[in-house]
Amino acid sequence: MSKSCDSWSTVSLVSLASAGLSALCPPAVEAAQYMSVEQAEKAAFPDADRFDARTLRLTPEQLHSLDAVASVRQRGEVRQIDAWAGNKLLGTLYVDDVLGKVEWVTYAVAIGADGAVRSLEILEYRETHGYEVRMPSWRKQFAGRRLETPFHFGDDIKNISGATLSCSHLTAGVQRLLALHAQLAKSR
Amino acid sequence: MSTCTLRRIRPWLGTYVHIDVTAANDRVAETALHAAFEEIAAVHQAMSFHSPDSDVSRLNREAHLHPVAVSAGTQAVLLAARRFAQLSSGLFDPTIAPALVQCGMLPSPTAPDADKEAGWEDIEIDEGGSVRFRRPLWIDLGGIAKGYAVDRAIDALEHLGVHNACVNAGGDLRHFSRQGQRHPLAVRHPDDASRSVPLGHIANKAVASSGNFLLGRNGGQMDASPIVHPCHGVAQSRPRSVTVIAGTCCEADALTKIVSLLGRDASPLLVELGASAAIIEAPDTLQASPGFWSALGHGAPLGQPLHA
Repeated sequence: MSKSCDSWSTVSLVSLASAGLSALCPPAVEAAQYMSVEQAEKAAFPDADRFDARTLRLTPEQLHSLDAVASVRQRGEVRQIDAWAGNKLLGTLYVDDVLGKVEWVTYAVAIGADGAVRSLEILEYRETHGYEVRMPSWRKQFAGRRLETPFHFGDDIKNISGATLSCSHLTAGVQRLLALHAQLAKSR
Repeated sequence: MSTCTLRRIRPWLGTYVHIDVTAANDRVAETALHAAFEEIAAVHQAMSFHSPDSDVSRLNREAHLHPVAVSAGTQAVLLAARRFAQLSSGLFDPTIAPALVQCGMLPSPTAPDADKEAGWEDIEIDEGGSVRFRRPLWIDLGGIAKGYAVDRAIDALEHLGVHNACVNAGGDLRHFSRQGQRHPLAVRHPDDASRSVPLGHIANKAVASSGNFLLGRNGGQMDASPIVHPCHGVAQSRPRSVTVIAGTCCEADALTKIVSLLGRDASPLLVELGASAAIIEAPDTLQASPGFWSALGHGAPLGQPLHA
């Protein structure tokens, strides 16, 4: 016994998976509790007394023109929320979705009246996966399951140690929203 | 007694940083989360290889010409990098950036070409916080800064009085609890990253993993790993993944690189640092160092003893 404690040990992943350890480590299945849009509004503009929201449906031409800024798949429906204190515009919060490796990431970017980014928050995140997106069969298997346990995948990431998943698609999304904000500001 | 649990994710350090906090009330939890993300943002801004304004970029441009003042954080990470370089006889080397640039894992910096002979011994760190390179070289703190950022965030959360916290920067994670809470730990299955393999629980410990199976890179890079041997270049077929459990995430992060290159020969160093490791090899075995399973709360090692 003591000998085995002093040396390296070996075990197969298959036997680990069936060793009952999963009972010790249940996947978290509660709904993701990141931020609501309302929480993001208040966090970004705590001094605001009024939020004025509308939905922008980006045309294929608009989406295409934003590809020149940064290429990432954007859902194309953006919530634009102006934050007001009295009659003073404090800034605008955009709520948007970009496609990560596998799933949509919902995020909120607050842009101040000076045109600079004030904050970036992720509201919904379901992604734990990376390379499997290349395999259509992998994607298909989640078609039904996502409805039953919509946040399951993102939720257990807090206890998974693995290789880094890049966030470059989100950076691209922010660049696109900044460009969109500048376009819209001209036409206001 | 009511408590407040908050979870936030923000993009920093080139990945998604998750922070979970439990505190006495929402005000403490919000304040602590804010402070923890500030720490991570500060490390990102100081140590990004990609940003031209970072300490790292300024060092790569100028430190061979004159001493460059850096933030306390950058100095601490450089000192830690040097310590790991010494402990590993140079296997851990923060000056391998040219190899990573060459194979497209890092962007080409706006800096003079690195001297091919230059290495970590050419970095001089002054006690006053300035750094000088004896020859032109490119440092990249990507092998250690993420772990350091996690440690800084945990320190801030602890200082601000939260009950429990976990900070996970893309798989480099550290858990803190003053209430004896344990944190379940799983690693990704190297053949199917959508599956995770549960290993046990950690408490007040840090974990980091290195693997070449989930880099999200395109095309021809899939076989390459960001683990670069200082003498032999970019590794092609290292272990599928390495997981290290240590007291700090900075140590765990650095040790994953050393264990990837040394395998079981890293044992003395693991013992010296009070750390333990698991190596997952294709197709399906996990080799655990002495102490790995006990760090995860198991009374005895799982599986069979492995004789050299």
